[in-house]
Amino acid sequence: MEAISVEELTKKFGRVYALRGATFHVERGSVTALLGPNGAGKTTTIKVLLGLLRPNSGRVRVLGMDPWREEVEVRRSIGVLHERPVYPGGFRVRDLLEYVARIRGLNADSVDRALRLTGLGNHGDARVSSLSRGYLQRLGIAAAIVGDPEVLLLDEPTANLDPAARMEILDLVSLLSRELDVTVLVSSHIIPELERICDHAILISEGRVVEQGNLRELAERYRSSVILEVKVDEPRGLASRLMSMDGVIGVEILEGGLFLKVKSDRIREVEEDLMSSGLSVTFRTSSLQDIYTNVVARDANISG
Amino acid sequence: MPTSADRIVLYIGRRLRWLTYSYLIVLFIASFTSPHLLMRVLVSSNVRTISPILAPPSSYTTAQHLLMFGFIFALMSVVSAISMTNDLRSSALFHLSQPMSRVDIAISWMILISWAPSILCVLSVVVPLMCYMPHLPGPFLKDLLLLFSQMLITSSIVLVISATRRTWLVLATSLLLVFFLPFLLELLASFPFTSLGYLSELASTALTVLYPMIASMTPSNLPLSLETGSQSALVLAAAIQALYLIYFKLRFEVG
Repeated sequence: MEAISVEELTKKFGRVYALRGATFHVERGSVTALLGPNGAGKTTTIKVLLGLLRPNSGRVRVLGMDPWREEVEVRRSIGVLHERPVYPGGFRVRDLLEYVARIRGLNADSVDRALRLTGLGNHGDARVSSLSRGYLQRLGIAAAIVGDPEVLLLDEPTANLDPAARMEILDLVSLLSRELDVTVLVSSHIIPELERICDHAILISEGRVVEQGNLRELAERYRSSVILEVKVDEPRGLASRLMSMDGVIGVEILEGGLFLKVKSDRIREVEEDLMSSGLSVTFRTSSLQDIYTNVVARDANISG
Repeated sequence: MPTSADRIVLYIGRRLRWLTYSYLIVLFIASFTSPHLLMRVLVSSNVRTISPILAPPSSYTTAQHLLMFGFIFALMSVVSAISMTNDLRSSALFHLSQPMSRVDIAISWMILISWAPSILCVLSVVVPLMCYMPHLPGPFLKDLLLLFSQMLITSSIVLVISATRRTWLVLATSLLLVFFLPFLLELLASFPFTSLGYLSELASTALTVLYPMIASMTPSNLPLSLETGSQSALVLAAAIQALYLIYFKLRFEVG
């Protein structure tokens, strides 16, 4: 079931193409990374999905609706954090969220929940203009989740943040995707950071979608290393055995288990070996940087 | 779920405090004009009642006072228009990320720039006067209609220019519409029997349609009656506002 469906989307600004026939789909309930360098068309894509920009051609559906024609209905189901959010002046944090709640026809309970989930509970009375960048991003996410949206669009949520704040925001997005059971489309030009939180990826370059799919498929297709999580009571004993296993690149010991970094061409063998020993193995993520590099290299070969 | 009207009220409500302040300032300035106007209408009306032959030529002086009122309230339109250009450049992204339509935003600004100042201007004249004179004289009501139509057409032009999001263009257009164009049109209209005859007639027509209140004060012969000019102004304002709404519905984008 698709939450977002985009087919042959083209968007021009004057004579400049921002999107050139982009086609992609986002599954319901997934956390999908929209990856690409600056200027690839990520922000334009998000604005088209929100009905802020009118496509020149192509078909766009969000939850089965056309965002340009059915803008109010689409925005009622979507929460969004923009790359450079601008908030109206003179608001306190709580007032701003209550304003958002009133536009959505909701009461103050939804505001309390958004403040709590985003860790802004103690900042309700703070003036928006007094917040740091990290807290402004939190506020943007809080505004996005007021009213339990079905889809969250996050445009570069970690842009211009220090490393600690970036980790906090990514953890928050990960928490929200689990707590709220929403479909998340999150864009970033910092490719490796999203592999912690996403299960699908769309790779975009110069306005074209160059690859898409779930991370496991992409890892196998582009020979990217993957991270497997193994549940085990005595991780230290198992770790030393796994280190010598063919295809295992690294082992990280956790409480009650361990993370294994495995070469892409040995995933199935390692998985079968572990499962035959009665261990529970879960695919966690793959190296988005490897995938991206390989996709770009493939495209360069094709065009060369 | 909130209706379109609810959303517009919410959007305008955010600006209500600011609107109230600017209205109070405008009223304060207008209060210097109001007693003169009141006196003029009262005297004119009473003298007419006693002796129509002795009645002073009230329309010119009343129009002068009304024009001053219109000018003061035009400032309110211009300030709102500048606010609109800033909003469309910045926080429109925030508002249009909520369940709010482009037309909701367009209607909100139409009310703030065009309808609210025009209606408040007329009410600010009418309400105090009616405290002393419950039945306002017919010629005065006609003058009020001229003022209202003039304010509506000029503010509609400013409204459309505001959609370009360029503050300097709004300021330049406002200066042109308020200060330069009426005098230029009056000047051109005052040469009907020269080689500029055709231009003069065109200027007179434009003056009657765009500035019916000023046209009522001009000594030139007007090709259109003031009533026709005023009605044309209202029709033109409605057409401009309809086009403005269609633009927002079909074309307006937030980049």
